Amino acid sequence: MRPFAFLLAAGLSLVGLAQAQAGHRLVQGEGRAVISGKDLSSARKAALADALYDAASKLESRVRGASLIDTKGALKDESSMLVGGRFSGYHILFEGREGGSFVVRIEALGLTEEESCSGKRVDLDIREVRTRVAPGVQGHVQANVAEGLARGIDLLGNGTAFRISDQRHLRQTSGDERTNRSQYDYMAQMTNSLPSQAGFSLSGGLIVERVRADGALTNVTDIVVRLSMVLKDNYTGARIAEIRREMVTPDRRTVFGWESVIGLTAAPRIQPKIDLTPLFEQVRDDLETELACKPLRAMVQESEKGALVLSVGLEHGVERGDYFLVTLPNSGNEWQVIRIDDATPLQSVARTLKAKPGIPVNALATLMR
Amino acid sequence: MKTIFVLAACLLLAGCVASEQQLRAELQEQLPYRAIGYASMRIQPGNTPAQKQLMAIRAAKAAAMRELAEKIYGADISGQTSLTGGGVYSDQLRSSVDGLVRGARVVSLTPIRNDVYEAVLEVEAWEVAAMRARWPNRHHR
Repeated sequence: MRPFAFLLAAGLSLVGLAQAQAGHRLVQGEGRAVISGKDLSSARKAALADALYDAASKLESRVRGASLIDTKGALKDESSMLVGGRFSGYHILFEGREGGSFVVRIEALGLTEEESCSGKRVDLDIREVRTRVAPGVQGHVQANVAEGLARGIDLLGNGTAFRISDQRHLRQTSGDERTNRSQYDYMAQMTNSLPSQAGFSLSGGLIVERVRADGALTNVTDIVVRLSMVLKDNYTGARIAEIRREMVTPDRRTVFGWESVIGLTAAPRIQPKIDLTPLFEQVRDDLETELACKPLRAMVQESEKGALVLSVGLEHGVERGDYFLVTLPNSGNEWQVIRIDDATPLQSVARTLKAKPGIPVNALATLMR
Repeated sequence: MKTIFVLAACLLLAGCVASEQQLRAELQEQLPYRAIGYASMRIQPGNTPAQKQLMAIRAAKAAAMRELAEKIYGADISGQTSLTGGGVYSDQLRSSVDGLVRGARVVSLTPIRNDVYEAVLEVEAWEVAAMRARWPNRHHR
């Protein structure tokens, strides 16, 4: 039992820092092992393994049981508990002798596959959205599309999983936003629309063209608006998703030669009206799907003696009493848990729960729910 | 009667508009699910009383975990009672459970008398709601 538990726990503890979409859960575990003779070292190892096992059982346990009772009163009772969990690290809170046993208490940072998909809104910067109109498409269609784009961006503002910041005057996102220092950042500061370092960005373009699908007798022409947007993670620079949608608006429906017969050639043509609302409703739904279960992250904007200011607030769904996990990859893979004391619409004030390690400015904090 | 009908309609409407957050807040106010497990030290493997004690603790926790799983997901129960001439000659009862439990915490671990350990585990109501939503057909295997 003991070697098995130790191997299991060692395996659990060696799991890396894969935190892509995973949520975090801070769990505590207690392990005990009998001290045989004076072999404290072995007892400590076994107690630590037991503590990891205990902590893992709090993350997830598969329980199976079967019982059989018959007239003779004989009872056959079987139960099994299969423990599974992944940790990105642990701290020892206490270790020492208690009577004839060695006791270890740990605090472990467990990774769970689940991430809360409601009650939070991530930052989404709308970056450069280019509009290209094919030659021959009338000016009023261009005007319709430009207006539709403005309305569409407004429509995205109704998202429940994200809050947008219109930064279309800034160029497309490329690479890692955190280290991107250029005249463009100056521009961002001038216009008071700083990129969300811990958020996401959307950029891309619209192509408007006329497509013909004529038959032998019919003249069928449509106006097609193709939207292609890329969703990126501002913190890592990773490409999260590509959103491609298109919308077709009927333009011309006639029978060849009939216009001149019925005298319509002289009459002004009725111009199609392009309404991009359905297109952007689809984009909004796509974004909801992509972003709803993403963890809410924040940058540490100020840090002084355990008091921190985070870049997210009430508008992001942060509430007083929420906990954030701050990972410090440059400090030996340490972490710190912070608690929100106060929240304003766009920022929140937090404090660390432990004196060490200290948290530097620009550290990344992730909401734990 | 009319008042009850209006009240029921109001409640129904209120229920429809209640957001997930409200539901979560309500669940947080509910009492946690609690389960108790017992295990005897005497029947545990181990060369020393201390080893038997540790095994008893583990067994008590596992028993409590099973009860917790039954409370969360339910259990499959099947029974057969046979009679001959009005008298019972065979009576069998089977129960089984299969479920994933997350977020269970130990409330207490207490030795009762000298031989038995009692483990009390509990899991928050909102965690139970989440587990049931995630694995709705987990039970009844």
